[in-house]
Amino acid sequence: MPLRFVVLFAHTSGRGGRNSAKGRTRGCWKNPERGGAVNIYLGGVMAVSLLVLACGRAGQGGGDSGAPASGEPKRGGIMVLANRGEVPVGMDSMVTSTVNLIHVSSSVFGDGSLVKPCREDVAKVCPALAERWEARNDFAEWEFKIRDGVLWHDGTPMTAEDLKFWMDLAYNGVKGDKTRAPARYRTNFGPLNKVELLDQNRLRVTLDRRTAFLPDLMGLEQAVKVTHPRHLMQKKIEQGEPGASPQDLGFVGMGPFKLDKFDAATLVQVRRFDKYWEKDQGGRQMPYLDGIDFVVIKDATAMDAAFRTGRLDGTSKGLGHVLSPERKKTIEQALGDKVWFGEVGVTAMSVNFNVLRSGPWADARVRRAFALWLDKEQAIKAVSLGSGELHTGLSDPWRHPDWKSLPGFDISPQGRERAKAEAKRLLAEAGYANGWQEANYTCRKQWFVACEFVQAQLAALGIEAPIKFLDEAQWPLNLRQGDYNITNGGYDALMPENLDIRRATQSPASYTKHEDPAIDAFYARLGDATAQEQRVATYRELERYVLQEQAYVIPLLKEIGYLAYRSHVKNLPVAKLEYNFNNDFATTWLDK
Amino acid sequence: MSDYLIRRLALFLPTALIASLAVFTIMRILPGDVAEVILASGGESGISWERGQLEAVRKQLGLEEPLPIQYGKWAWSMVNGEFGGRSLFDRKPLTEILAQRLPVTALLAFYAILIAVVVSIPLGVLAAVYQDRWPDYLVRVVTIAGNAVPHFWLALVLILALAIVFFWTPPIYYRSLWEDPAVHLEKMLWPALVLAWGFSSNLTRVTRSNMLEVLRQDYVRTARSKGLREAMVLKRHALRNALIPVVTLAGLQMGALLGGTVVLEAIFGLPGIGQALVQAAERRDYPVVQSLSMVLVLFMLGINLVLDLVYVLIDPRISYR
Repeated sequence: MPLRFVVLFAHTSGRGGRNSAKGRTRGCWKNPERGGAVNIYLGGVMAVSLLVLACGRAGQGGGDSGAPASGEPKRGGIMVLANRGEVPVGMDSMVTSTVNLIHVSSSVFGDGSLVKPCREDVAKVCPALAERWEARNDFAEWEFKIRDGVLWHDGTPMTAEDLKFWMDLAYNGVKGDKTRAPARYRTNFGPLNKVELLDQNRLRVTLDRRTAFLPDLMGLEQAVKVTHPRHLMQKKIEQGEPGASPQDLGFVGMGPFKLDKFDAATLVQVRRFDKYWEKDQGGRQMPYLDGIDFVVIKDATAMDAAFRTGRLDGTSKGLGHVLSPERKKTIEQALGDKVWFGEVGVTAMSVNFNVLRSGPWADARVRRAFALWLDKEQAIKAVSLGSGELHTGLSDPWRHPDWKSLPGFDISPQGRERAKAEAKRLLAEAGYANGWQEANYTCRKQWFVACEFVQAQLAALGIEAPIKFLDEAQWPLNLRQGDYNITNGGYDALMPENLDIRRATQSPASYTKHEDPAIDAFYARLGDATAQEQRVATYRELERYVLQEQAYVIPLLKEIGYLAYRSHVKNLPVAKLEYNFNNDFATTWLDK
Repeated sequence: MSDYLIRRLALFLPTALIASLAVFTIMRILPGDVAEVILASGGESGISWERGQLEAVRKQLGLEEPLPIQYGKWAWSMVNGEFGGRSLFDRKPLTEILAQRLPVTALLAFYAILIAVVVSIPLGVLAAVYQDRWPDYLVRVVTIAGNAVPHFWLALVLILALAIVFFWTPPIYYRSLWEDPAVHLEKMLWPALVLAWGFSSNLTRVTRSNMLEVLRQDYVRTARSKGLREAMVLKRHALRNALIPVVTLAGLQMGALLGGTVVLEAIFGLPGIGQALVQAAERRDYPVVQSLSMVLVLFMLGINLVLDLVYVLIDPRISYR
C-alpha cells in the first residue's frame, strides 16, 4: 500500500441540520465546527501501521452484508455490540439502573418481570413471566397466573414462590443486624400491602389502595427485573449476606441468554439459553443468536471507528454515544446500505425550581414568565444542535392534543411575540421587571450546554445567574438537600406515576421541590381512575396545572439520536419512546 | 549499600502513612457521598428515591461509623491482604480490581518507556552528533511536536486515520499478554506509541543537550586525538556521562506517564488503573481511590529507589554509605 498524504477532519462535535428520521439523509454535510480539514503527514505512523497490517489481521472492512434477507430467521452467530461504559459489578438493578447495566442485563434477566413492555409498542405492557392477570376487589387485589415451564439458567424450575420472594425482597429489603435496602424501584409495585401465594403458579398482590394500572407500573420501568433467585438468595440471607448481588449468585436469570464471561471493565459475553421459555409465532425456539458480546468502549469516536471498520455490529445506547445527526451522516456516507439506523429519544431536559426557598421563584408569576420567555425552538438548535423536539413530559396519547398551541409551546412568530409580552407583563406584576441577581443556579456538569443556554435566556430578562457546576458526587446531594433555587433536570416518562413531580417529602431527590397538596390530589385521582380515558383526562389537568398554571417545571427539549446497526442485523426492535426497552435481543438474528 | 537500602526502605513506611492520611482526609473533605451516587445512578434523567433508603445504603456500606474507625479498617485491610477491602459502589474486591487493572497500566507504561528509550537515546545522540544539520533539525521538529501535541488529540486522530484511510481499527477486545499475545500487542501498540512520542520527546532533547555538553569536554577530545573510532568515543566515553540526567528525568517522567494513561485508556478501551481511579474519584468510592493512590505512591517511591541504585551502575564514583 503506497504512502500518501491524507486529509483528516479532526473529530469534533460539528453538526449539520436535522436529518430525516430514517433511511438516507438529505442535505449537505457541513464541515465540523473547528475550522475544517487538518492536513497531517503520517509517514511514521503509516509505516508502522503497514507493518502491523502485514503481520496482523486482515482489515476488517465493511464486508459483505450477507445473504439477502428472508422472512425466516437464521439461527446462529455472535452479535457484537458496544457498551458505553463499565457494567456495574454485581449487575444489580435493585441498586442501580444506568444504561450501561440495562443494555446488558436485559439479555440475562429478560425485559420486565411478571409483565414487560410490548416489543411493538413499548408504551403498553405484555405478558412475561405472568401469562395473564386479573384485578379484583376494585383493583385493590391483583391475581397473576404465572407461566409454567420457565426455568432458571441453572435448570431450576421457576415458581410463583420465586416471584413472591423477589417482590418481598425488592419492596421491603432485609432488616436486622445485616440489612439490605429496598430496591430503588420499589415504588413500581404500587402501594403494596402483601404478596400471597395462592398455589404453585398463582400470586395475589394486595394493595393499600386501588391501583388500576399496576401492570403498567411494573412493566414500564426498565430496572424492574427478577434478578435474585429464591433458591440461591435465601441461603445468602441465612449466611448473613443479604447484600448479595446477582453476581454473587452466579448471574442466574431467566432471560434468553446466559452469562458466559463477565469482565465489567471490558467485555460481557452472553450465550444462548436453549431452554428459554419464549417461542416465536411460528413455534420456533428463541433466541436465534448464539450469543452477544458487549464490548465496553468508553470513547464515542473509538466506537464510531470500530463500527465503521466492522468490529461492531451495533453502536451503544446512552448519552454521549447515541449518534448525533452529524455522526450518523458520516457513518452513512462511509457505509451506505450496509447500515441501518434506529431513531431514539435520548434525554428530555427541563428547567426546575425549588419553590420551598424564599425568593422570586417562589412566585408562580415569575416561573410562568420564564416558561413563556424561554425559546424552546432556539434551545433545540443551541443545546441539541437541531437534533431534538419539543416535549411536555409524556407523549401521546397522554398530553393535551393541542399542546403545540399552548402558551410557551407555540413557536410560531406570533406565538413567540405574545408569549414574550406576557412574560414581561407577569414579571412586572410580580415586581421583577428589571430582573435580579440569582445566586443559586446549580447545574449537573454533563448538562453544561443546556445550563449555559438557560443562563443566556435568563440574562435577557435581566436575571444574572452564575452557574454552580456540580460533579456526579455532588449533584445528588445538592438535589436531596435542595440547595438551589433553579436547576436543570429531566422530565420524561411513559406514564404519569413515573414523572418527577411529586412533593419533596415524598421524593427527596426530585428536581422540582414543592409541597403542593394539589399534586397529591391529582395522583390520588389518577390512582382511583379505572379507565384509561379517565386517567388521560386527569393527567391533562395535571399537565396544565404543572406546566401552565404553576410552571413548576419547564420542559426544555427532548434530544433525539440514532443507534446504528450493520445491515445483517435483523429484527432488532428499536423504540424511540424509550430505548432502554427491547434489550433482550430474543428476536434478533444475523443474516450473514 | 545494604545499610542504605534498609534506610530507604524504612522511609517507605512513614511516607506511605502520611500519604494515606492525606488521601483519606481529602476524599472525606470533598462534597458528595457515594451512597447518594449509588441511589442517583438512574441514568440520564435521574430517579427519585424514598426517605430511609439513603440511610439504609449508608449503613450497609459502613459509612456511618466514626472516621478514625473507617480509616483504621481500611489501613488494616491494606496490610492484611485485602488491599483496601471492597469498592463501595459495586462491592468488587480491591484485590480483584488491582489484579485486573494494574498489569494493563503497568504494561502500557512499560511498552511506552521501552519504545521511548529505544528511540530517544539514539535520536538524541544523532541530533547531538549532527548538530545544526538536517538530522538535528528533523529530530527537534519531531520532539517539539511531541511536547506540543496533546496525546488525547493524537490518539483520536490516529484512530480516525486508521479507520478512514486503512479501514482498520485496533481490536476492541482486550486480551492479556499471556492470553493472546498477538491481539494484546495489536491493541497496546497504538496507545504505547502515542504515550511514547510525548515521553521520548523530553528524553531526546535532554539526551541531545547532555551529549552536546559532554562532547565538548577535554577527555572526549583526548579520546578522539588518541585515534579511537567515533562510535567508541560516543559509546564508551560520552554516553554514560550524558545519561545520568536522562535517567533522572526518565524516573520523574514516569509519574506523568502513569497520569497520561487515563485518557488513553478510555480512548483505546484499556481497563487500566487510570480509568478506575478517575471513575472512583467521581463517585467518591473511597476505598478504591485510597488504595489505588497508595499503589501509585508506593510505585513512585520504588522508582526513586531504583533510580538511586541505577546511578551507582552508571557512575562508579557514586557510592552509598
